[in-house]
Amino acid sequence: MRITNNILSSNLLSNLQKSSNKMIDLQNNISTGEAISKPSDDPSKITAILGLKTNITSMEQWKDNASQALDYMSSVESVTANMTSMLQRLRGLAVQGSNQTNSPEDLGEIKKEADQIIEQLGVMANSQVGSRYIFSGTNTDTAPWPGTGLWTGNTESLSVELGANVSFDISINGQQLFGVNSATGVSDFFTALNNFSTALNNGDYAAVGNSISDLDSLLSSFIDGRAELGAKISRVETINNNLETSIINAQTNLSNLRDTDLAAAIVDYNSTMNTYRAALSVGAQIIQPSLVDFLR
Amino acid sequence: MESAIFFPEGIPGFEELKEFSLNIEEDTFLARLEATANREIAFFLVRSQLFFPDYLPKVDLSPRETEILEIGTSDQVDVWNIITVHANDLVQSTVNLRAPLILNPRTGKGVQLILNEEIHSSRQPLFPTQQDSIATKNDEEGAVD
Repeated sequence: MRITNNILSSNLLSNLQKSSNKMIDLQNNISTGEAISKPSDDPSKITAILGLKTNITSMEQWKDNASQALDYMSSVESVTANMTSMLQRLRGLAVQGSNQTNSPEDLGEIKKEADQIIEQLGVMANSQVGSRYIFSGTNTDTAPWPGTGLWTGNTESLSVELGANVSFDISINGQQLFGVNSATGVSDFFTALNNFSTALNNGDYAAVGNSISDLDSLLSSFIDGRAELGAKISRVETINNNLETSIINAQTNLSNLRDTDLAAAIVDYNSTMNTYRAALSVGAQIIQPSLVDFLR
Repeated sequence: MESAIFFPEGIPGFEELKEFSLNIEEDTFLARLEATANREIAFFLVRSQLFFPDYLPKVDLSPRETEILEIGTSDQVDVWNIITVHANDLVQSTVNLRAPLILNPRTGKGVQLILNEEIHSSRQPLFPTQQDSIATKNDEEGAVD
C-alpha cells in the first residue's frame, strides 16, 4: 500500500478528533448546570447577574432598533438612488432636446420619454417604506405630495433610541431634498419638472436648455441628501457593531459569573489545548513534505 | 505574570471600568482579564493567532487606536481575543474574532478594537467541529496526490 500524504493527514485528523473528544470527557467532570441557580446561593453574585441581564436586555433592544433603522435608511437610500438616476436621464434628455437640429417630431419623442420619467418621479416622491411615507418628516402616515403639488411634510426628526440617552434621527429632510418653499409649500422639484415638460411641449429650445441647469440643481440636492444619509447609515453601522460587541462582552461575563469557575476552566483548557496544540504541531511536521518539495 | 492595563475608553458594555489586571498563564496562550474595581467582571482571553494563523495580518489599527495605545515606532502590540466559555461543553466555546483586545505592554494601555469587516465572526468556534474536519479532509483529497 502506498502511504500518501492523504493517509497521513487522515490519521492526523482522527488523532485531533480523539483529543477533542477527550476534552468533552474533561468538561463533563467540571460542572453540571449553572453554578448559581437561586439568589440564596450567592447574594453578591446574583446582584451582579441581574444587573448584567438588565443591561443585556436593553442593549438587545437598542441593537434591534439599530437594525431596523439600518433597514429603513437603506430603503430610503435606494429610493433616492433611483430618483437620482432618473433625474440624470432627464438631464440627458434636456441636453439632447435643447439642440435645435431636432425636428418637432424628435422633440415629441423626447417628451414622451420625459413625461414617463416625470410621472414616475411623482409616484416615487410619495414613496413608503412599510407603511411610512419617507419624505413626510414625522407625518409618516400622510402622503407628502397629496396631488395639490404642495408639500404637507414637516422637518421634524424621526428619532430612534440607540443607547442610554442616545436618540438618533433616521429621517431624510424632505424640505431640502425637494427644495420646498416653507411658506408656500411649492417645490423647486415639481416646478422644474413641469417647466421642462412644458418647454418640450412648446418646442421651445431655449427653455429646454434652461431646464438643464434646473435639473442640475435638483441633482445636487439629491446628491447632498444621499451623502447625508450615507453618513448616517455608516454611523448606525458603527453603533450596531459596538452594541454587538457590548452584548457579547456582557453575555460572556454573565456566563463566567453564572456557570464557570474561571480558575478551574483555565487549568482544564490548558491541558486540553496543550494536547491539541501538540497534535497540531506534530501534524504540521508530518504533512510538511508535499509534491513541491520533490520538484526542487 | 500579572500586569495592570488601562483601557482609556473601557471596553464596550463596561465603559465605566477602565482599570484591569491581566494575568497571563505562564507557558500558555491563555490569560484572564479582571476589572480591578470589580473582580466579578472578568474575561478569559486567548492568543487567537495559534488557532487562526492568518488572523493577525487582518487586524488593522486606525490612527485613533494607535493614539489611544500610545504606540511608538518600536512597540510590539499584544493581541488577545475574548473566549465565551461554554461550561457545559467546553468544546463548543467560541472566540470573538470581530473584536480583539489590543494591548501595548510598554505603556500599559489597551483598547477593544471592533473590526467592521464581516469576514470575522464574533462567535467563532475555537475547535473545529467534526464536520469542519471532514470538509478540510475533502478539500485536501484532490490537492495532495
